[in-house]
Amino acid sequence: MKKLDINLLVPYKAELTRKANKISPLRLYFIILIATILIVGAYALKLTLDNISVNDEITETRAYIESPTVSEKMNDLSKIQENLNLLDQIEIEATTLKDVIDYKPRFDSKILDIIYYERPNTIEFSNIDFSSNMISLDYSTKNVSDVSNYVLRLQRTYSFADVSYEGYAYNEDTKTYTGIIVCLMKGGN
Amino acid sequence: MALSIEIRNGFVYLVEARTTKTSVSIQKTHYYSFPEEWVTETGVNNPEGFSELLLQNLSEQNIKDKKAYVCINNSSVIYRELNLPRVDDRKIPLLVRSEMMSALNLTPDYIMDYVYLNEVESDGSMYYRVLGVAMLKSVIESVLDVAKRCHLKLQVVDSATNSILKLVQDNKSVQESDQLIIADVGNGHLKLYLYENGEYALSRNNKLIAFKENSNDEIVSAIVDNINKMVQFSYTRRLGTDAKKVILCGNDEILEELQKQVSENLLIDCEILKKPTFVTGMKYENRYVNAIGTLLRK
Repeated sequence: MKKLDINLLVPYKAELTRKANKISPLRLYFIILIATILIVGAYALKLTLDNISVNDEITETRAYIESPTVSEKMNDLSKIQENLNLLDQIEIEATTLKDVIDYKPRFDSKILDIIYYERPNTIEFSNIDFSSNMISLDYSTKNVSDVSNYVLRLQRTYSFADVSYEGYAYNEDTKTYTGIIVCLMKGGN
Repeated sequence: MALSIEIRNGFVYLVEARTTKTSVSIQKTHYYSFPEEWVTETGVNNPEGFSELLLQNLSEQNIKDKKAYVCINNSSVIYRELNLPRVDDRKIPLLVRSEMMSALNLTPDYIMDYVYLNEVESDGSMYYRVLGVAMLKSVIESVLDVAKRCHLKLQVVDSATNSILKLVQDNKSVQESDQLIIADVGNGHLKLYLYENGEYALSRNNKLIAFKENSNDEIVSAIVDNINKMVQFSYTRRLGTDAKKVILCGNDEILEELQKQVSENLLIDCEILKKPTFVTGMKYENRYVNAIGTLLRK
């Protein structure tokens, strides 16, 4: 479309617009400064709002925590926690006790089986006593050498910490030897 | 309604009219003088005085229109006919600007516009022929300042040559003549337009020295001399013939005497510009041709 009229106001305004759109360095710095202030301001505002929001939440939470119902529940929880701690302690104690019990020598059928299995036929027990990890075997026999052999056999089973005997006595009436064999029990399994 | 304000050297011409794209219905006309030093090539130097006087005249004439069309008709407007390659329309303003700056050694503080005239062939290539117009930015700023002071809404800043171009566009005498001179007689200034084959060729601006002190006869004689110079110049054009006709407009008081003198002394057919067909309304006066032309928007 060919231009058929003149209006110098139009190019003048166009030039003004062009100039207005051009950003001078000073204006650029000013814009950057304003933008920075705005960003920092916006961030500060955000932080302030966040702070207010967090404070509100704190207040609400505090009110919730300090409410009688929650306090009661908290007390219950504390008690439960205390009980739990106590239970833990009991468990520890029980475990320790179990260990002790497990370690403590046990006089059971197995020990008796060993004692009887190794016993020569010539030796008879008149009494078996268990006290303080010690088994005392009161015996009688007609052959005195069988006692030492028996002690030796018991030692070799390695089921006892120690097996010993301390002399014997001879009974003229029955023509038998009597004495006590002491077996010291081992701890643990 | 629109108010056209023509600013000349020492005179302001006002035309209030109803306008459409094809017609101008004149409602009121008025003109007044002001100290010439108030308006120079750099614009209105005394905006306070100028706007005060304008407001006073508008008030006296009961002209209340705020939509202002300003026609600048003094030496602050620089014209140049340019031949431009047929490039994209959007590139023409930049081309006009660079051509004007280069041809007239203008500084960047000039505002420029152009109007399409016709197409010409040169060295086998077709060129757009345009009329470039340049004006100092300060002139427009001062006019805007005056408009602001007078509470006017400035719509247009036009030039006298463009106004005449629009005014005579449909004139039969102009269209039918091989060569024709239009003489716009102002107070102290004379503008001569040369038309060839119905198309604008060039214009000249002549200052009539000490116009006010001289008698009408002396003024007419000076104007006839200047027209004669233009006739002589027209010989140098490609057509190789002298101007066949002179059309007069401007100061109505001396136009009839001028017509007689031109016809008798230069032996050229001379007529006074008739009221254009698109102009209606109150009594038409030739002194307002520029203000009326500005009201026509293409």
